[in-house]
Amino acid sequence: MHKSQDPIQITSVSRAFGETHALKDVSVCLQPGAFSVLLGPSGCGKSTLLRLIAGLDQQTSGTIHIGAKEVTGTSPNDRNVSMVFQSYALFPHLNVAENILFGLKVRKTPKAERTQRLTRVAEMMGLSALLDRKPAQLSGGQQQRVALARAVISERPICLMDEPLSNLDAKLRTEMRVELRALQQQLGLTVVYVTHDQVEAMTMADQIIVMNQGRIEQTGTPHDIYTRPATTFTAGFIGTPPMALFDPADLADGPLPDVRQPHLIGLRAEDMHVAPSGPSARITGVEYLGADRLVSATAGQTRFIMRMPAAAPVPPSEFPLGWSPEAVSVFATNGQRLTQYDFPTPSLAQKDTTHETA
Amino acid sequence: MIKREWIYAWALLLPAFVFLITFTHLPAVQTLLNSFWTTPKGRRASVFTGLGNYEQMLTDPIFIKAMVNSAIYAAITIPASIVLALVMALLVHRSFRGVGLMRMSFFTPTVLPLIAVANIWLFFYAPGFGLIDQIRLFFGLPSANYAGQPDTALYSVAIVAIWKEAGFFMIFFLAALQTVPQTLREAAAIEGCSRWTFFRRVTLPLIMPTTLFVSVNAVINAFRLVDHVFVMTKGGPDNASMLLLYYIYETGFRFWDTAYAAALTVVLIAILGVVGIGQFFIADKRVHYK
Ligand SMILES: Nc1ncnc2c1ncn2[C@@H]1O[C@H](COP(=O)(O)OP(=O)(O)OP(=O)(O)O)[C@@H](O)[C@H]1O
Ligand SMILES: [Mg+2]
Repeated sequence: MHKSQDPIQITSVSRAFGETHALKDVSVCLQPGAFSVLLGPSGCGKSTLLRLIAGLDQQTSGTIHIGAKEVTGTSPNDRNVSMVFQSYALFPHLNVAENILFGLKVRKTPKAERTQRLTRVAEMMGLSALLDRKPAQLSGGQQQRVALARAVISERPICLMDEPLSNLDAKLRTEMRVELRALQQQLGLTVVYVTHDQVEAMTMADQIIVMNQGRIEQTGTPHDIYTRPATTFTAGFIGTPPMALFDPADLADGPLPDVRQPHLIGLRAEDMHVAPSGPSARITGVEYLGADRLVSATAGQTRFIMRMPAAAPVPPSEFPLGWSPEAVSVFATNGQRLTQYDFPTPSLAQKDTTHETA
Repeated sequence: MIKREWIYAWALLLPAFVFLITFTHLPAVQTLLNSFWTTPKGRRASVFTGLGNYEQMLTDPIFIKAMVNSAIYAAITIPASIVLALVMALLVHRSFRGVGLMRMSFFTPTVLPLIAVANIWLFFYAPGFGLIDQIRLFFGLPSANYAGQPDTALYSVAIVAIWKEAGFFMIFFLAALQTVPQTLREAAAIEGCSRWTFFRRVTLPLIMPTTLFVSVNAVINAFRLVDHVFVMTKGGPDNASMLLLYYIYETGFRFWDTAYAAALTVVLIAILGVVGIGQFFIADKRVHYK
């Protein structure tokens, strides 16, 4: 029932609120059965895009197709999607069972079927013992599960989620990440998930859509986005610490591609190391993280952070900087990646299997 | 040292106590006591009659008329003003051009003194040249004297009370509606819930505490607000618009039968007490408080 063959195709969609342009000419295809994450800083238009897909808001221009059907102008109910809200949006006067069954009752599903589906979903979500409680008598994590159960019981193939974990504490969030991902895989749901937390995006997504100021910066697997950011924005937004961006002059006489135009060199913290020889760098600080050490340093004018194993000795205050040539990203001065300088690495072409759950 | 603090506490409370006891509790007790005695007249002193005043009520046709009228008046004004208030609140609980003006015009009757309201309505009702009569005459209907005819007098004062009260209750409903989160509406819309179903299944239960509060107020007002009766009908014609509180006033301050008026007052308070407490107990089970 859940499984969907319908992709969500968004074509040249814009949404303006008066003078504010929340979305500017956004086009993207969200694959059926995939966990797609809309990721970006606050105010970049993630929620706006999700609400357009849900039908809670109408785009100023552009089209949205679910499968072959153009859904522009249709009501939320006709789009056959379910949604989990950041605030959960549970009905405070109804108990857990009534909350979960709300949609089925509204749609006049027969009583026997309702009971059967409720039993199954409550079991799946670990809510069986809580069915008589009011939302106010539940913990944040339990409320979250009720909101999720309400989406799951609808058996609609597409589930939209707007920062569903942001009200939970760190430990619960980690647990729920795993649960959510497992649930999505088990049911074959098409999930569109909004977050500004890159850890959530990295750990759960099949496909990440990085957004910035109402535009899509990059679409790709977590691995693509991390190792080959398409723009300097993505390079700076993804990763803790973010990718360091060097003026090539600061890295002179290192292993650099031969680029015939003004450009920037991007390097991940873990791709740099202390080398026998190379451009010289000066340490400004060291942060000990247990397994790793983050070394802050400057090379010429560029400040950067380098990650090294805690077991390795702390480098001297002045050291020669080295890096793996295949990890180099080259960006034009307008921020776009110059893909012609990408190092051909066959391993990257392989299927990303990090999230396959048995 | 504790003793000293107690003295301070009592000293601070004393002024309030003095005024409360002198102007509220003593008169209340006095009223109750008076209701068991006869009214002193000329040289005839007041004598104890026990329940005599209450027995007199059972055979007093005006009292019975006033009770029936009050019941009809309450049965009309309470539900009508609550429903009207809710409808008005729903109308102005959204944004469109002129919503501020609309809210203000709904609320204006509340700000006006009831006496002034009654005068406005007297003009509406006035036979011959009043607003309603002009409309009637325009459509070729005969002139009618709504406030002056026994069969319509009670309803014409009831309408004035509804007009006056609905705006006030609307403010409470409007505030309550604004506490219903927008995301609940959206969550329901995703499930395919119509606006009417949402209103019935979500909005109405969530504003239930306000509805209870408003209905208790409406009950009290139905017995308490009679200012417009003074202006419009004086309980007439032929006691057609006689209400319990107006009858108490007439008995006590026009006929100076203070003992009988005291007994009537006790009856009024008993009715209000029973209805008010009953409302809370019955409704409490069905009201969802946050
Ligand atoms: N109803 C509205 N009226 C006016 N402006 C709006 C409205 N909704 C959103 N915006 C604007 O559109 C832009 C994008 O908002 P949106 O809610 O999509 O951001 P977001 O990416 O979800 O951010 P966050 O991570 O903080 O939730 C913001 O600049 C916001 O101020
Ligand atoms: Mg948002």
